[in-house]
Amino acid sequence: MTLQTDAKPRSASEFGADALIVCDNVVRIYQVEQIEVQALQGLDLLVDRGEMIAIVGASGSGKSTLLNVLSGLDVPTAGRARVGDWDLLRMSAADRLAYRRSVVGFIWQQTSRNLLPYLSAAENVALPMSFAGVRSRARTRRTAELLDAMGMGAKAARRPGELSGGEQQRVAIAVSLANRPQVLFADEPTGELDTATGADVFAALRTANESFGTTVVIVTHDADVSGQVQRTVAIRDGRTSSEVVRRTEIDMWGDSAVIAEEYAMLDRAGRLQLPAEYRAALGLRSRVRLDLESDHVGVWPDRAREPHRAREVEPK
Amino acid sequence: MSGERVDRRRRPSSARARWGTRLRSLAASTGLLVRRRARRDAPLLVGWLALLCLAALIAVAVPRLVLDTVDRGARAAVAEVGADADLVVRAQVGDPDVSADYTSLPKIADIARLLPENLPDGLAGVSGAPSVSVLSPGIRLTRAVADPDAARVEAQFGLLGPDQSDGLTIVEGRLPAESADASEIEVVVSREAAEAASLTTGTVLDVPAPSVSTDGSDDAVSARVVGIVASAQPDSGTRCAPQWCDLPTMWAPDLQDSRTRGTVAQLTLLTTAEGLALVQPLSFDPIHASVRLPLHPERFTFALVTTVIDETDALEANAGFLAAGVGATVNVRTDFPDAMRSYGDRAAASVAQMSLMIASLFGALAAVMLLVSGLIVGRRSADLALERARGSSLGSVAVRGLAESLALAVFGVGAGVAVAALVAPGPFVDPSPLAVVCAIAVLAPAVRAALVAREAWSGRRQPANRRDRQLIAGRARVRRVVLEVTVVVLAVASLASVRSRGLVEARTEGTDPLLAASPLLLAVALTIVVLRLQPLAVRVAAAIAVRSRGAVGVLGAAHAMRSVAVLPLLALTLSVGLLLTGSLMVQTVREGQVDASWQRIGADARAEGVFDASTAGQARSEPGVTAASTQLVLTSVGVDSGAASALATMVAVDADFASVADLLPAGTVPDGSALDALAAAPTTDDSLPVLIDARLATRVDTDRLVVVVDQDRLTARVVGTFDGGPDGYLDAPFVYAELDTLSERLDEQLPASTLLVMGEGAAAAADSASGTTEAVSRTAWLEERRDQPLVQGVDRMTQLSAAAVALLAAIALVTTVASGSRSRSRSLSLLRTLGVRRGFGWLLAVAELAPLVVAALVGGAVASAAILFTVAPAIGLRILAGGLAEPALSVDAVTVVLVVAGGLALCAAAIVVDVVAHRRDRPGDVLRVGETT
Repeated sequence: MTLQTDAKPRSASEFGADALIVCDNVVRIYQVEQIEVQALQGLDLLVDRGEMIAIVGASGSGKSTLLNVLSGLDVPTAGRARVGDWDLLRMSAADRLAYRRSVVGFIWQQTSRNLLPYLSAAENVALPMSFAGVRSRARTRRTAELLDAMGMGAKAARRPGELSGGEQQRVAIAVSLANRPQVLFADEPTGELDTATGADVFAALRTANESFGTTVVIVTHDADVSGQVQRTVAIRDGRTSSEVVRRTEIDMWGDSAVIAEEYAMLDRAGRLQLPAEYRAALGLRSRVRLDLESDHVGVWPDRAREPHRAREVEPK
Repeated sequence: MSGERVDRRRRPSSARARWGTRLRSLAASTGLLVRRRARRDAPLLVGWLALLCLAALIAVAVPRLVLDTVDRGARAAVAEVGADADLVVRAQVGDPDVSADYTSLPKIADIARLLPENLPDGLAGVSGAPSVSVLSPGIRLTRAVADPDAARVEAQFGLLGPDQSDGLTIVEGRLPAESADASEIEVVVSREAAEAASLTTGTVLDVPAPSVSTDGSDDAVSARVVGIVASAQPDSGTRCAPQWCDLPTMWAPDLQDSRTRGTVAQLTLLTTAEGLALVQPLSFDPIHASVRLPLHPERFTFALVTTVIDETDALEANAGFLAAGVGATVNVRTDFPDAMRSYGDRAAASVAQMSLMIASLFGALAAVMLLVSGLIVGRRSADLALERARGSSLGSVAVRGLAESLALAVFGVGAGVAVAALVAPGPFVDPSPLAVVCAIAVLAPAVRAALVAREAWSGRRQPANRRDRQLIAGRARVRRVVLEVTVVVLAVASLASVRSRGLVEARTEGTDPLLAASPLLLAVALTIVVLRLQPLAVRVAAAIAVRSRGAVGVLGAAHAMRSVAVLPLLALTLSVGLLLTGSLMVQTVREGQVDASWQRIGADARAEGVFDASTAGQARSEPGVTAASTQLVLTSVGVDSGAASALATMVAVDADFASVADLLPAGTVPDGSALDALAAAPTTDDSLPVLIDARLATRVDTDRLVVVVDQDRLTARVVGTFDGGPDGYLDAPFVYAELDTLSERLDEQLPASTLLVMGEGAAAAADSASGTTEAVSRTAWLEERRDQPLVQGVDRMTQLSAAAVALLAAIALVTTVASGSRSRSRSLSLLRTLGVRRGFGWLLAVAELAPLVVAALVGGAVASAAILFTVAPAIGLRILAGGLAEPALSVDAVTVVLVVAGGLALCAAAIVVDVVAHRRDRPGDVLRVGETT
């Protein structure tokens, strides 16, 4: 087993030392014949224990690749990726198996892909425990617990074909929680569902996060979903480009309001992605001028090209 | 609670508990998953079971058929040898004071009694009850009452023992009795002998005493015929009855005319032991006793033939222990070893031919089994990927695969073995094919499932550096090329080796490994080559297709450009190769047999006997006869040219020979121009115009040739030479002359000894010709040849292999079609949303299958040609054809066209099945759900 703790203890100064999930300059390159695709181009990401975050991005931005890497189903080409004590770049086949069994759980977009069609809901939930060698009695107890938590206890004996799409996804969440994983990865879990059913599934994910203490990472296009998590990380061109952090504030009259603040991401090399609308608005193109002030950095268009469009950009 | 802590808490504390967890993990839900999955995939698994049944049937039945063929051949060969194969223990009966080698009749009886116990195991298993025959030397007898009209009698006295007494029928008189009169021997004689020598009951024949008898007395004795007997069956079918074999003139007296002595009847008189004791002193030569052990052909197997050859060789070298405990000198005689040694070559030839087909059959079978197991596992790939994602280990995947495949193998293989017991009962000849089938049945699905599961989440890290990635890809390419080149080189080497060594190493009790590997290796090598070349050909065709109007060309080309899979191509290449090789080889043998029949018979029918000048004309007048000719064959004729001489066979032909020769294939008689030269040669001088064999012409001086016929030296004038000749039934070299001219030169009208007849009615005409003593026909020869167990066995194996391989090819095609049906259905559904007609599915299926089928037809044809032209000359086709030389390979266009048409028909059938199966697919459902089954 290639745990990072086996190699050397993490120093407090290490990037993301306290985080559960750490992606440090992760690169993933696919090559088919002579065609090379850089799905991840130095992506940085930190996720703390117990968080529930969403990852959003355009098609082809690299979010599914990131999820596969974090799930242990794919291996980064370069960089550093860690989940808990598991170094995802150095895992052997046996490590990978143990990682999938006990550290992570997954849910995919296609409801039919999450469950074996010839097993009942309860049997599907018990299956990962079976693979982990859990005793029968413990499996039965845990299965009932999970299905009840997902509101599927009454339909435990039904097969996937006899369940609706939302029910299938809720059973799939129960399956992914079977071996008490530290992290649950969900790839477009509501992608095939209507809004109401999607809300049920999201509620189930929230249950997984709050009741079972599982960190939940959701890849989604669904604005409703991404709007309900504490943090939404946007990926563009294989890099994290911005983050929206939400916090609930209660005013002096006792009313609560969700405050969402968007941040641009500064990577460890000091690279910063400016949102496209900012660049368009200020005409920032290939070269900009930076001014270091006492409390902020000024970004100015290249005077030689467009001197009359200079603006000051203040950090948020 | 952190996940890490949870994990630590759940980690088993003791080693025992850890093992328990591992075992539970390994066997996780095996029963449940296997049961449910099998129920879902029931139609596929039923097909798999049927394939296993077929595979086990082939694996068990084919070695049995091979062994059955050589065993039946061995039995037929032993039966053909007949009584000559019997083991005959011989001893001399006489006065031991005269020679230590002489023994007594009681001892002969003891030898016969103890013989079954003293025999080696092999012989004991195949031999019947011994029978004793005792026969004196021939003695000239004189009649007590002279009869000038009757033939003189030269008799051998035989012992009327228990073996002879059984089955004798008294026609007249009685059997010999013990007689107190030491001067008279009571005898019985067969009805045939009695008629030949004019003997009746009461006839007394005086036995002249030798001038000095062996015991010093000169008392003469007489033989009195007291009975005339008959035997219901002196001969049993093709062989003599054991108790009569060594009394040859008992039932077939030999009448010989002598100018000095008149007619002499050589016959056998049976008498008692006392009678023989009276005969014994009358001759200086001892009495011969034989204990004959008949060999029962029906008890033979090929293995026993080898054993018995070894045992009889040993007995001929040292027969002493057959008389162990008796104390007699014996020797053993049998023609069995010499006659049966040649059978080994014939059996090896048939096994070699069958091996070529068996290897391809098993290769195709293995490929189809792997193909179908791949289809089953492919259908489950999503399940396997999910299981793996949910934490299933590869071991656990393999265990479930093994559990399922083992259960299926038990049923499928068991059913196959049971069917084999019904259709081809017999012992387990060679368990290795069944073991291979079982291994593939059990391991293939499990291993493939594990491979699919491993590939699902391989977790292999690729280097970040592009150059490093290219390096890895380059290494993989080199490994593949090296492997492919190795297979091709191995195939070529094996072909060369088999061709050069021939049948020397071929095993008859099983399949020769190298011979068997050759077609397999060749098919694999050709599959590799075709896989390399096929994309080029498809690319060219596709480039033309895309220029056509409409979507048909573009879409068809796109589907055709998909690479052809190895296993279907290998299975189909092997199938096509086997079908072509088998059918062409059988056809070559059959045509070789026809050629051989001309060589062995020399005409449609040939009669031996004594024929006069009118015989040919009479034969020609028979219905269905197109030509007839008589000829005199003189063997061992001296051909002398002074410095060099040789022996040759002289064939003196009549004037009609040219009409027969015109109808005979070239090479069996002198060509027409040579015969014309012989006919046109002037006969005015004293010389004899002759045609001589080209082989002989190189050895003698043709200008001063003398032909020595009997004692006459005839000056010969060579008017021409020729190649070939009737060396299928006569010994080369040959000298041809005209019968009339030869008669003139010898001043004697020579009768013809051979009648050659052509036409449908030849056999009947030859049989009925005046003077015929023996007649043979080409059709009868061919029939007999084709009825030989070895030839029939090869035919039967070819037909069964062809049927089996056609079935396997159909399965391979259906499997290939089924493998691509999901994606094709999806493509078609998508295309239908763009306005393409439903019937376009046909085109997609054809476009996908056509490259495979065409590649397999080309590969199979090349494999077949390579095998036929390189290996066939080394596998003894001549031995089965029965000719003088290797038969020329017969490549019949009709056979090739039939195989190609069969391949295309199978392809069409597979497509029809697929299209019909998906005719109710609704594009919306397919596109929404993904793929249909």
